[in-house]
Amino acid sequence: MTDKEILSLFRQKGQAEKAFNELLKVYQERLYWHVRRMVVSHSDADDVLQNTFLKIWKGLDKFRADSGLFTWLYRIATNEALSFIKQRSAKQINVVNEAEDLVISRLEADEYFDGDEIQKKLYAVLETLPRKQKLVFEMKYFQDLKYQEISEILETSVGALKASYHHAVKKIEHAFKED
Amino acid sequence: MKNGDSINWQEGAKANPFKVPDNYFEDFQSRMLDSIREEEKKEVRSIINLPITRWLSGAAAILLLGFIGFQQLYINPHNDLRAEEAMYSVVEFFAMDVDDWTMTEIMADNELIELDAVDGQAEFLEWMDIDEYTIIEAAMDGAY
Repeated sequence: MTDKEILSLFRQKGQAEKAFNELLKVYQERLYWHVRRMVVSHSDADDVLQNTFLKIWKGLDKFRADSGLFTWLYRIATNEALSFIKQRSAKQINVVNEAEDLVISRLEADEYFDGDEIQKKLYAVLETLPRKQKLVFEMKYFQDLKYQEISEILETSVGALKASYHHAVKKIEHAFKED
Repeated sequence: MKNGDSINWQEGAKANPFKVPDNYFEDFQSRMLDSIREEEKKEVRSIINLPITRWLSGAAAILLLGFIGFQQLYINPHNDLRAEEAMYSVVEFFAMDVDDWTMTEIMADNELIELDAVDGQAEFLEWMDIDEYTIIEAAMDGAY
Protein backbone atom coordinates (compact mmCIF):
# COMPACT_ATOMS: atom_id res chain seq x y z
CA MET A 1 0.00 0.00 0.00
CA THR A 2 1.36 3.45 -0.91
CA ASP A 3 1.59 6.42 1.47
CA LYS A 4 -1.27 8.10 -0.38
CA GLU A 5 -3.51 5.03 -0.05
CA ILE A 6 -2.69 4.71 3.66
CA LEU A 7 -3.58 8.35 4.28
CA SER A 8 -6.75 8.09 2.24
CA LEU A 9 -7.81 4.96 4.16
CA PHE A 10 -7.04 6.68 7.48
CA ARG A 11 -9.43 9.52 6.62
CA GLN A 12 -12.31 7.16 5.88
CA LYS A 13 -14.75 6.74 8.75
CA GLY A 14 -14.00 3.68 10.89
CA GLN A 15 -10.87 2.78 8.91
CA ALA A 16 -8.21 4.52 11.02
CA GLU A 17 -7.02 1.38 12.78
CA LYS A 18 -6.82 -0.57 9.53
CA ALA A 19 -4.80 2.25 7.94
CA PHE A 20 -2.50 2.39 10.94
CA ASN A 21 -1.95 -1.34 10.67
CA GLU A 22 -0.91 -0.87 7.03
CA LEU A 23 1.43 1.94 8.05
CA LEU A 24 3.01 -0.34 10.65
CA LYS A 25 3.54 -3.03 8.04
CA VAL A 26 5.32 -0.62 5.70
CA TYR A 27 7.40 1.39 8.15
CA GLN A 28 7.98 -0.48 11.40
CA GLU A 29 11.15 -2.26 10.26
CA ARG A 30 12.73 0.76 8.61
CA LEU A 31 12.06 2.95 11.63
CA TYR A 32 13.20 0.22 14.01
CA TRP A 33 16.63 -0.08 12.34
CA HIS A 34 16.98 3.70 12.19
CA VAL A 35 16.28 3.93 15.93
CA ARG A 36 18.26 0.82 16.81
CA ARG A 37 21.47 2.15 15.27
CA MET A 38 21.04 5.33 17.24
CA VAL A 39 20.25 3.85 20.65
CA VAL A 40 22.09 0.51 20.09
CA SER A 41 20.25 -1.72 22.58
CA HIS A 42 17.17 -3.66 21.43
CA SER A 43 15.05 -2.95 24.51
CA ASP A 44 15.77 0.79 24.24
CA ALA A 45 14.93 0.71 20.53
CA ASP A 46 11.68 -1.09 21.33
CA ASP A 47 10.68 1.59 23.87
CA VAL A 48 11.58 4.42 21.49
CA LEU A 49 9.73 2.79 18.61
CA GLN A 50 6.57 2.34 20.68
CA ASN A 51 6.61 6.01 21.69
CA THR A 52 7.26 6.94 18.08
CA PHE A 53 4.24 5.05 16.78
CA LEU A 54 2.01 6.36 19.56
CA LYS A 55 2.95 9.90 18.51
CA ILE A 56 2.33 8.98 14.88
CA TRP A 57 -1.13 7.62 15.78
CA LYS A 58 -2.02 10.76 17.71
CA GLY A 59 -0.70 13.11 15.04
CA LEU A 60 -1.75 11.34 11.86
CA ASP A 61 -5.14 13.07 11.59
CA LYS A 62 -3.34 16.43 11.71
CA PHE A 63 -0.77 15.43 9.08
CA ARG A 64 -1.38 17.72 6.10
CA ALA A 65 1.16 16.23 3.68
CA ASP A 66 3.26 19.42 3.50
CA SER A 67 6.15 16.97 3.65
CA GLY A 68 6.14 13.31 2.57
CA LEU A 69 4.80 10.75 5.02
CA PHE A 70 8.21 9.04 5.07
CA THR A 71 9.92 12.33 6.04
CA TRP A 72 7.39 13.04 8.76
CA LEU A 73 7.69 9.54 10.26
CA TYR A 74 11.49 9.69 10.22
CA ARG A 75 11.42 13.09 11.88
CA ILE A 76 9.26 11.79 14.74
CA ALA A 77 11.43 8.68 15.18
CA THR A 78 14.61 10.77 15.10
CA ASN A 79 13.33 13.25 17.67
CA GLU A 80 12.20 10.42 19.95
CA ALA A 81 15.58 8.71 19.68
CA LEU A 82 17.44 11.97 20.30
CA SER A 83 15.34 12.72 23.39
CA PHE A 84 16.04 9.25 24.66
CA ILE A 85 19.81 9.58 24.06
CA LYS A 86 19.81 12.99 25.75
CA GLN A 87 18.10 11.58 28.84
CA ARG A 88 20.41 8.58 28.90
CA SER A 89 23.61 10.58 28.43
CA ALA A 90 22.60 12.93 31.25
CA LYS A 91 22.89 9.92 33.55
CA GLN A 92 26.23 8.75 32.11
CA ILE A 93 29.84 9.89 32.26
CA ASN A 94 30.89 11.96 29.26
CA VAL A 95 34.59 11.21 29.22
CA VAL A 96 35.36 9.93 25.69
CA ASN A 97 37.27 6.76 26.57
CA GLU A 98 34.79 5.75 29.24
CA ALA A 99 31.90 6.30 26.83
CA GLU A 100 33.58 4.02 24.28
CA ASP A 101 34.21 1.34 26.88
CA LEU A 102 30.65 1.61 28.09
CA VAL A 103 29.26 1.01 24.58
CA ILE A 104 31.60 -1.91 23.94
CA SER A 105 30.63 -3.61 27.21
CA ARG A 106 26.96 -2.93 26.49
CA LEU A 107 27.28 -4.46 23.01
CA GLU A 108 29.15 -7.49 24.33
CA ALA A 109 26.37 -8.08 26.86
CA ASP A 110 23.65 -7.61 24.27
CA GLU A 111 22.32 -10.99 23.10
CA TYR A 112 20.92 -9.28 20.01
CA PHE A 113 24.29 -7.97 18.81
CA ASP A 114 26.30 -10.17 16.50
CA GLY A 115 28.97 -7.80 15.21
CA ASP A 116 32.71 -8.23 14.85
CA GLU A 117 35.47 -6.19 16.53
CA ILE A 118 35.44 -3.51 13.82
CA GLN A 119 31.71 -3.03 14.19
CA LYS A 120 31.99 -2.84 17.97
CA LYS A 121 34.70 -0.21 17.60
CA LEU A 122 32.66 1.75 15.04
CA TYR A 123 29.56 1.88 17.27
CA ALA A 124 31.70 2.79 20.23
CA VAL A 125 33.31 5.70 18.35
CA LEU A 126 29.90 6.84 17.10
CA GLU A 127 28.80 7.13 20.72
CA THR A 128 31.50 9.75 21.29
CA LEU A 129 30.41 11.96 18.37
CA PRO A 130 28.19 15.01 18.83
CA ARG A 131 24.56 13.94 18.40
CA LYS A 132 24.04 15.74 15.09
CA GLN A 133 27.18 14.25 13.53
CA LYS A 134 26.24 10.78 14.74
CA LEU A 135 22.76 11.15 13.32
CA VAL A 136 23.90 12.39 9.92
CA PHE A 137 26.53 9.66 9.71
CA GLU A 138 23.97 7.00 10.61
CA MET A 139 21.48 8.19 7.99
CA LYS A 140 24.05 8.64 5.26
CA TYR A 141 26.38 5.73 5.83
CA PHE A 142 24.05 2.98 7.08
CA GLN A 143 20.78 3.93 5.44
CA ASP A 144 22.15 5.44 2.23
CA LEU A 145 19.68 8.30 2.42
CA LYS A 146 20.30 11.20 0.06
CA TYR A 147 21.44 14.51 1.52
CA GLN A 148 18.21 16.07 0.27
CA GLU A 149 16.12 13.50 2.17
CA ILE A 150 18.17 13.97 5.35
CA SER A 151 17.82 17.71 4.91
CA GLU A 152 14.02 17.42 4.87
CA ILE A 153 13.93 15.10 7.87
CA LEU A 154 16.32 17.11 10.03
CA GLU A 155 15.31 20.49 8.57
CA THR A 156 18.96 21.40 8.05
CA SER A 157 20.69 22.69 4.92
CA VAL A 158 22.46 20.21 2.66
CA GLY A 159 25.72 22.16 3.12
CA ALA A 160 25.58 21.81 6.89
CA LEU A 161 24.81 18.09 6.56
CA LYS A 162 27.81 17.55 4.28
CA ALA A 163 30.02 19.32 6.79
CA SER A 164 28.64 17.20 9.68
CA TYR A 165 29.21 14.00 7.72
CA HIS A 166 32.73 15.03 6.77
CA HIS A 167 33.62 15.79 10.42
CA ALA A 168 32.12 12.49 11.56
CA VAL A 169 34.15 10.52 9.00
CA LYS A 170 37.35 12.32 10.00
CA LYS A 171 36.81 11.53 13.69
CA ILE A 172 36.03 7.86 12.99
CA GLU A 173 39.12 7.62 10.75
CA HIS A 174 41.22 9.18 13.46
CA ALA A 175 39.88 6.78 16.11
CA PHE A 176 40.71 3.76 13.96
CA LYS A 177 44.23 5.06 13.20
CA GLU A 178 44.90 5.39 16.92
CA ASP A 179 44.26 1.65 17.50
CA MET B 1 40.33 5.39 2.84
CA LYS B 2 40.10 6.40 -0.78
CA ASN B 3 38.73 9.89 -0.31
CA GLY B 4 37.35 12.10 2.46
CA ASP B 5 33.69 11.45 1.56
CA SER B 6 33.63 7.68 1.76
CA ILE B 7 34.80 5.12 4.23
CA ASN B 8 35.17 2.13 1.94
CA TRP B 9 37.90 0.83 4.22
CA GLN B 10 35.01 0.10 6.57
CA GLU B 11 32.65 -1.33 3.97
CA GLY B 12 32.35 -4.46 6.15
CA ALA B 13 31.02 -2.36 9.05
CA LYS B 14 27.98 -1.45 6.97
CA ALA B 15 26.49 -4.90 7.44
CA ASN B 16 23.83 -4.91 10.12
CA PRO B 17 25.32 -6.47 13.27
CA PHE B 18 22.06 -6.27 15.21
CA LYS B 19 19.40 -8.92 15.61
CA VAL B 20 15.89 -8.90 16.97
CA PRO B 21 14.01 -11.58 18.95
CA ASP B 22 12.08 -14.14 16.88
CA ASN B 23 8.78 -12.81 15.50
CA TYR B 24 9.57 -9.39 16.95
CA PHE B 25 7.99 -7.40 14.13
CA GLU B 26 4.80 -9.51 14.05
CA ASP B 27 4.48 -9.14 17.82
CA PHE B 28 5.29 -5.45 17.69
CA GLN B 29 2.48 -4.85 15.24
CA SER B 30 -0.14 -6.50 17.45
CA ARG B 31 1.30 -4.86 20.60
CA MET B 32 1.07 -1.47 18.91
CA LEU B 33 -2.54 -2.03 17.91
CA ASP B 34 -3.34 -3.02 21.52
CA SER B 35 -1.55 0.12 22.73
CA ILE B 36 -3.53 2.46 20.50
CA ARG B 37 -6.81 0.81 21.57
CA GLU B 38 -5.76 1.30 25.20
CA GLU B 39 -4.77 4.87 24.39
CA GLU B 40 -8.21 5.52 22.90
CA LYS B 41 -9.86 4.22 26.09
CA LYS B 42 -7.56 6.42 28.19
CA GLU B 43 -8.53 9.45 26.13
CA VAL B 44 -12.23 8.76 26.66
CA ARG B 45 -11.60 8.27 30.40
CA SER B 46 -9.56 11.47 30.60
CA ILE B 47 -12.34 13.45 28.88
CA ILE B 48 -14.85 12.02 31.38
CA ASN B 49 -12.54 12.89 34.28
CA LEU B 50 -11.93 16.48 33.20
CA PRO B 51 -13.17 18.94 35.89
CA ILE B 52 -15.26 20.79 33.28
CA THR B 53 -16.90 17.50 32.24
CA ARG B 54 -17.73 16.70 35.84
CA TRP B 55 -19.26 20.16 36.32
CA LEU B 56 -21.23 19.86 33.09
CA SER B 57 -22.55 16.40 33.93
CA GLY B 58 -23.53 17.64 37.42
CA ALA B 59 -25.37 20.60 35.92
CA ALA B 60 -27.06 18.32 33.38
CA ALA B 61 -28.21 15.98 36.17
CA ILE B 62 -29.69 18.92 38.13
CA LEU B 63 -31.49 20.18 35.02
CA LEU B 64 -32.85 16.70 34.33
CA LEU B 65 -34.12 16.33 37.90
CA GLY B 66 -35.69 19.80 37.67
CA PHE B 67 -37.41 18.91 34.41
CA ILE B 68 -38.76 15.63 35.84
CA GLY B 69 -40.05 17.47 38.95
CA PHE B 70 -41.69 20.15 36.80
CA GLN B 71 -43.29 17.49 34.64
CA GLN B 72 -44.63 15.68 37.71
CA LEU B 73 -46.13 18.88 39.14
CA TYR B 74 -47.51 20.62 36.07
CA ILE B 75 -47.62 18.34 33.09
CA ASN B 76 -48.69 14.99 34.52
CA PRO B 77 -52.43 14.42 33.63
CA HIS B 78 -53.10 12.83 37.06
CA ASN B 79 -52.08 16.10 38.67
CA ASP B 80 -54.51 18.01 36.43
CA LEU B 81 -57.37 15.86 37.75
CA ARG B 82 -56.23 16.33 41.34
CA ALA B 83 -56.05 20.12 40.84
CA GLU B 84 -59.54 20.14 39.31
CA GLU B 85 -60.98 18.14 42.23
CA ALA B 86 -59.39 20.55 44.70
CA MET B 87 -60.87 23.53 42.86
CA TYR B 88 -64.39 22.01 42.94
CA SER B 89 -64.21 21.37 46.69
CA VAL B 90 -63.18 25.02 47.29
CA VAL B 91 -66.05 26.24 45.07
CA GLU B 92 -68.51 23.97 46.83
CA PHE B 93 -67.37 25.28 50.22
CA PHE B 94 -67.95 28.94 49.23
CA ALA B 95 -71.07 28.14 47.21
CA MET B 96 -72.94 26.90 50.27
CA ASP B 97 -73.97 30.50 51.13
CA VAL B 98 -74.77 31.51 47.57
CA ASP B 99 -78.36 31.29 46.31
CA ASP B 100 -79.13 29.76 42.93
CA TRP B 101 -79.72 33.10 41.18
CA THR B 102 -76.33 34.51 42.28
CA MET B 103 -74.69 31.25 41.35
CA THR B 104 -76.28 31.47 37.89
CA GLU B 105 -75.01 35.03 37.50
CA ILE B 106 -71.51 34.07 38.61
CA MET B 107 -71.52 31.19 36.18
CA ALA B 108 -72.78 33.43 33.40
CA ASP B 109 -70.15 36.11 34.23
CA ASN B 110 -67.47 33.48 34.01
CA GLU B 111 -68.92 32.15 30.80
CA LEU B 112 -69.54 28.76 32.37
CA ILE B 113 -73.11 28.88 30.99
CA GLU B 114 -74.62 30.79 28.08
CA LEU B 115 -75.54 34.29 29.26
CA ASP B 116 -78.49 34.56 26.85
CA ALA B 117 -80.21 31.63 28.52
CA VAL B 118 -80.73 33.64 31.73
CA ASP B 119 -80.82 37.11 30.23
CA GLY B 120 -84.10 36.68 28.44
CA GLN B 121 -86.37 36.85 31.50
CA ALA B 122 -89.57 36.28 29.52
CA GLU B 123 -88.29 32.99 28.11
CA PHE B 124 -87.07 31.99 31.54
CA LEU B 125 -90.46 32.67 33.19
CA GLU B 126 -92.23 30.93 30.38
CA TRP B 127 -89.93 27.96 30.82
CA MET B 128 -90.72 27.98 34.58
CA ASP B 129 -94.50 28.08 33.66
CA ILE B 130 -95.08 31.29 35.69
CA ASP B 131 -97.59 33.79 34.35
CA GLU B 132 -97.56 37.58 35.01
CA TYR B 133 -100.39 37.33 37.55
CA THR B 134 -98.47 34.92 39.73
CA ILE B 135 -95.45 37.27 39.60
CA ILE B 136 -97.49 40.29 40.74
CA GLU B 137 -99.06 38.20 43.51
CA ALA B 138 -95.69 36.93 44.62
CA ALA B 139 -94.27 40.48 44.62
CA MET B 140 -97.05 41.68 46.80
CA ASP B 141 -96.44 38.77 49.17
CA GLY B 142 -92.67 39.62 49.15
CA ALA B 143 -91.67 36.17 47.88
CA TYR B 144 -89.29 37.58 45.22
